[in-house]
Amino acid sequence: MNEQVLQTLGRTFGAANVGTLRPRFDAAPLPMVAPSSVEGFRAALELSRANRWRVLPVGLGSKLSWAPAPGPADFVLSTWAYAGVESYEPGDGTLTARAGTTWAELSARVAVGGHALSPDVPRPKGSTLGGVIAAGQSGADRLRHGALREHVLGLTYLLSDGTLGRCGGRLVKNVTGYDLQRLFAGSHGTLGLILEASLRLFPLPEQEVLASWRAPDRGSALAAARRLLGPELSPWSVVLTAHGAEWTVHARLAGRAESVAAEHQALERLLPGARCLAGEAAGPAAQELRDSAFGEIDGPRLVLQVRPSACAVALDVALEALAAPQFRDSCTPQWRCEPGLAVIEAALGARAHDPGLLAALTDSLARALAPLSGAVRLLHAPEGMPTTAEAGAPSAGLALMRRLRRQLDPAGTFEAGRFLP
Amino acid sequence: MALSAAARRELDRILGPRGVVDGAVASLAYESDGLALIRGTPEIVLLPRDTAQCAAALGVLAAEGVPVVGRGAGTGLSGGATPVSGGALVGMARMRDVLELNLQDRFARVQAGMVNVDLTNLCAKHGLFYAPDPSSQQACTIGGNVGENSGGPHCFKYGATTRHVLGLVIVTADGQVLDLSQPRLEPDGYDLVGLFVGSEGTFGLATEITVRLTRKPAAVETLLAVFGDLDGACDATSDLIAERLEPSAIEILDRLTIEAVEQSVFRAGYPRGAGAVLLVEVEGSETEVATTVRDVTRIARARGALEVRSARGESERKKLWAGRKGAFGAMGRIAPDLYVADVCVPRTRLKELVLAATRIAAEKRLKLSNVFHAGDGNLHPNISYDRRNPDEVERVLAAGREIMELCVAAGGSLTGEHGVGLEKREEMCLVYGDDDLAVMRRVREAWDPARRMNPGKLLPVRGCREARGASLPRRAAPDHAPQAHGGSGR
Repeated sequence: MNEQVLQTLGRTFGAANVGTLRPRFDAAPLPMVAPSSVEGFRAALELSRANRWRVLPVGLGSKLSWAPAPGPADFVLSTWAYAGVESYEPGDGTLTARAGTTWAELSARVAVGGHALSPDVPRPKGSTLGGVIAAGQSGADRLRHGALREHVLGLTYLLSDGTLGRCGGRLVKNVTGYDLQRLFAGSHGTLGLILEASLRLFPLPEQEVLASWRAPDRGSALAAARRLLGPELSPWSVVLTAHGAEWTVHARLAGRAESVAAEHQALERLLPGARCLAGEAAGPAAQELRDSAFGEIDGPRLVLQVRPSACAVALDVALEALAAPQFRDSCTPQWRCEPGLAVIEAALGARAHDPGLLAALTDSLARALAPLSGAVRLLHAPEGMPTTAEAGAPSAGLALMRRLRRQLDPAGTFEAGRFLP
Repeated sequence: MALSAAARRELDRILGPRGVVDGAVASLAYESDGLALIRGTPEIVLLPRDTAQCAAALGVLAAEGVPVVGRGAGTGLSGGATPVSGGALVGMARMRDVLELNLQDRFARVQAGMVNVDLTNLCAKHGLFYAPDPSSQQACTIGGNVGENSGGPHCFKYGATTRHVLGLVIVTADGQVLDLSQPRLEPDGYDLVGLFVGSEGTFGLATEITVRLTRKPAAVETLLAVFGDLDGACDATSDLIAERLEPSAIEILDRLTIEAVEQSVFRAGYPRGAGAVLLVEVEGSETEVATTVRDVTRIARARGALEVRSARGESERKKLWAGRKGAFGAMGRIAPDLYVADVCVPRTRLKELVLAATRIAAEKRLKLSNVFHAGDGNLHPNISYDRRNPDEVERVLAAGREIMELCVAAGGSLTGEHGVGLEKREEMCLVYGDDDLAVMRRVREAWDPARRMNPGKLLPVRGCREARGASLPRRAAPDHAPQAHGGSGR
């Protein structure tokens, strides 16, 4: 750890207020400050400018290994201590809060007024508002509510030069000025620090049902999912999970009590023999299903996205690729597939840590899936992976993205080698 | 800057004789969009047939340093397509093809000049539709909708254009083609597509658009709740939102609008003499529709609805909506011109702000009608006037500004769906500070360093501090003063 950085931060923020954070599970710890005021963030950025230090912005740091590895940063600037709800407007269905507020806290707050947040993120206690937006994370309810970026109504952000800016607003409909919130959502902290955000809220479901059905084989599981995704139901999620060759179909219904009751009947017809949990009993099981996405850091996680019509083919391709002799010994994939969104995930297991092998895997999958509009990402990639083989390496618009980054962060303070090749 | 003779010859060669228009036709047909109070004259009008032609033409214009204004059907209401800086106007009128219709994955890739309603008509037989439905959907183009991030009544449930755009092909200021047309669940890198939608032509020209198609719901019901006055309709809307009901559209029409519609070809059967009607559409499964209809009816009655009824069958449903969407056209019966204000307010404050707008218009001796997307808090206080009366024009503009200021002060926004354009450019300082706008300028420069794309739109010309010191001008200065001229705003 850089002692000079540690001492300088200590002098400005008080030694007791400087902690450390490992930017990735396999990296050395960095000094970290977590200011609780805008002035504090400004002071930290002023230090970074004066010393030409690179800053790694984080919330609670749970999604740092979703994007390519941060490059050499000098300290971590966390928003976790900048927390609290600014305003919750139950009559208008909107929420504005500081970036460090956890998703769990926000959910609890709006539930009082009968509202729910979207995305329904995994492990909400360890996720902050700013972190979820910066990571562009969508949740278990995406099938019903769409992507996170569609629900961010406005932002307050701090650029590395100290500019405190605002975009959008707190209204559910608004076209005043550029939608910079769309630029910040999913930018992994490379453009600026998100300090505050406003979200559109959704009705808290009155009732839910979680159905699961063990399929005799993968083909039947996919066919069942297709039936559930037809016009008769509008589920929150339809997920397939696999343990070995055994596939289970999970469907979550949620909404107004009468609608869910009617959908429940339809579901029993569409998925005969399914085991259904309703009401309070559905809660923990639904949570478990939700939290199985982008799981704990148990090794690299492969995420494939294709067009929905190509989901079955892509699953075949991925299964076949991982069954190849060179991967069979090191990868113990746990599969998860959302056919409605055409997202396929494979947790590869702790033994899958050879960067060369993983790069070969992602490259070959990217080539195979390209004709299906496929995209391949590797979350929690081990150190030493070539960046291009990692998460979301963009193909088109790269020069423009670099110009955007230069405009907002000319000194490259937040760049930390991340995100764009 | 004038085009050189060589550049002109090159444009003729690229676009062919039907692709280049100039002289009197260009200056008359393309001098403004739906905001007819402000006009400009393009030096030349270019009508490319495809992305390649558009890119080649923009390459020529880049070399000449000529400003470029994009235009869909010219139905915009904020002056976004008005060529106030001269230069070249690039129209999408000859780019109307469907390039791909993917029924399985429910998306379409279309050229930017495709008319909004044509897309919905095209996929109707497959049980699909394109959700954003501006009132001008019979004429407006998908490309124009992308530029403005257009809304419409059903955006209450489905969201504005930005939620339905999956990909774009963009021709940038220097004539390069940026192909972001692959419909992906997550963007590769920054969300350039999301950033582009609503940029009002200041980043580049979208030439091809990949849009999401939505499955038609199993059941639809359209409710008409009749109120003695506007207050009851506004209160009922606030209650619907507070109870977290999810119809697909919640619209209000006031007395004057009802009268105008009922006297026009758009006659929908709204009860004459009613103070206001609340038009609510509910879509979804049979059960979902039945329960929501029950709750909407209960709320409307509790707020004093004189009558709540469902449309009897598809033809009456269509008629009720044709009346709503034809309302702006029907206003032509009241006065030759219509100023359509467009502001958004918190949905807890609908009644108060609608009332305030009425008061402001009355004080200025203006005729105000209201037809608006109540569910989204998107007000359209419409002022009927005659542009040949300069004093009335002054009062209209003053009232428009006063309404806007009041709504912003109440936590509202400058525009809900019509865009900033020329009309509200200087008023951006009401909601943003110099720093916010400086960042927007920096973002714009990343796309168009020479600032040739739609110059003079969206971002204020002067700094806010400076403008506030000098007190804001009433309106973005038009190149041409309001003048007597046929045609009306929307």
